Amino acid sequence: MTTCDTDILSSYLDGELDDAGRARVAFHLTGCAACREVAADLTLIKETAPALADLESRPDADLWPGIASRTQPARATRISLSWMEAIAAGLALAVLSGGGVWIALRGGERAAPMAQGAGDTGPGGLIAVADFGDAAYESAVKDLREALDKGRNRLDPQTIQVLETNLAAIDQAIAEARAALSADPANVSLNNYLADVRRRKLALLRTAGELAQPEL
Amino acid sequence: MAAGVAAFVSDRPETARRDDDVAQAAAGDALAFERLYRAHLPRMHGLVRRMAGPKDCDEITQDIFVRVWQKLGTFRGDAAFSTWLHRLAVNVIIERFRSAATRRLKLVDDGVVMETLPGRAERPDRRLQLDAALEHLPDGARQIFVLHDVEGYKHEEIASLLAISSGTSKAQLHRARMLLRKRL
Repeated sequence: MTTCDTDILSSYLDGELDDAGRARVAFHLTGCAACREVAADLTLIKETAPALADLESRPDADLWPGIASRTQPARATRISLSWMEAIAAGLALAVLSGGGVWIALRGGERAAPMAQGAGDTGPGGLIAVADFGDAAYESAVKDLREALDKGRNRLDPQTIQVLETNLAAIDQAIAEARAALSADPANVSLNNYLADVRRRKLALLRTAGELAQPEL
Repeated sequence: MAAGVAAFVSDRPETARRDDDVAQAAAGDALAFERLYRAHLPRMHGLVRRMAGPKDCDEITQDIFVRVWQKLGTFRGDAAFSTWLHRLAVNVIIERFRSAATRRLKLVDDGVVMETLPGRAERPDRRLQLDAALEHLPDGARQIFVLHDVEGYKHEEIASLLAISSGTSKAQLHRARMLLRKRL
């Protein structure tokens, strides 16, 4: 390095030159005050720079609302809704399973059994005959249950506990209704009651399944 | 919060609480994620400002935390969360500049930008002087300077991150230092 070539100074300061290159630059610096000054300035910059990593800054406005709107709405809303629905289902079923069958039995209405899908109401919306052997219903329940089980690890334990408690209550209510209907198959109230409970089970499984879906 | 619980929480080591927040946020706990955001915001915002400049700093910082939320499930704890977060943030910042056309423009622009800036600012702290001067560097030179001299990345790592050669990284680093020298 017999003439000034400041382009090589960073490599020199960073220890990236081979022995011969380093010796040439060092020799040049001994006789060139201008390059020594540049090298000194670059050294200062290089030595000061790591301290910048500790410098923090803050935005003028809180960024959280924007972040939350992009990360939380789908998940937070769904969790909130599922909890509300699960709790509502639990409360409703506490009544239904405890007294629903009894109330239905007291109704004493009779209807001719009709082959309808689960949760359907009959003409006029007055009657829904529960079909125990409804393959479509059982298949839907199975599919939803599988979807829920697949995404189970995405739900927190409390949510799973509430869901399972309510699903158990629904199953109990269904079993009680079936038992009562086996003795009185044409009871309108019982059929409506069973259809309603089965509809609730589907709705709860569907909501839980959505909650367990991976985030997009 | 009960006093006993509050005392328990406040007595726990900060790192343990942060670890809990990471685990809870990864499990979908929005409140834990917000705590992580608030704990790491100043450092992340500072990193973004140094690397990307002040213009899009808030937007990029927001992008980083959205990405953190999306990727938290992949954090296995092999490295410290802050290290993982730092790497992720650098990637988000670089992606911002990654389109070939943009990158080319950023990396080949000349030093005129720096030459036309106002004169030297009188600041008592050399660190603050340097920090302020960074804002005026061309984007490409600034990114490489921050990655190499501030964050300690090697030229080979920078070359890989930015899809450039090591030689380009070295040249841009020297250019950044020379521009900063003029500024300071």
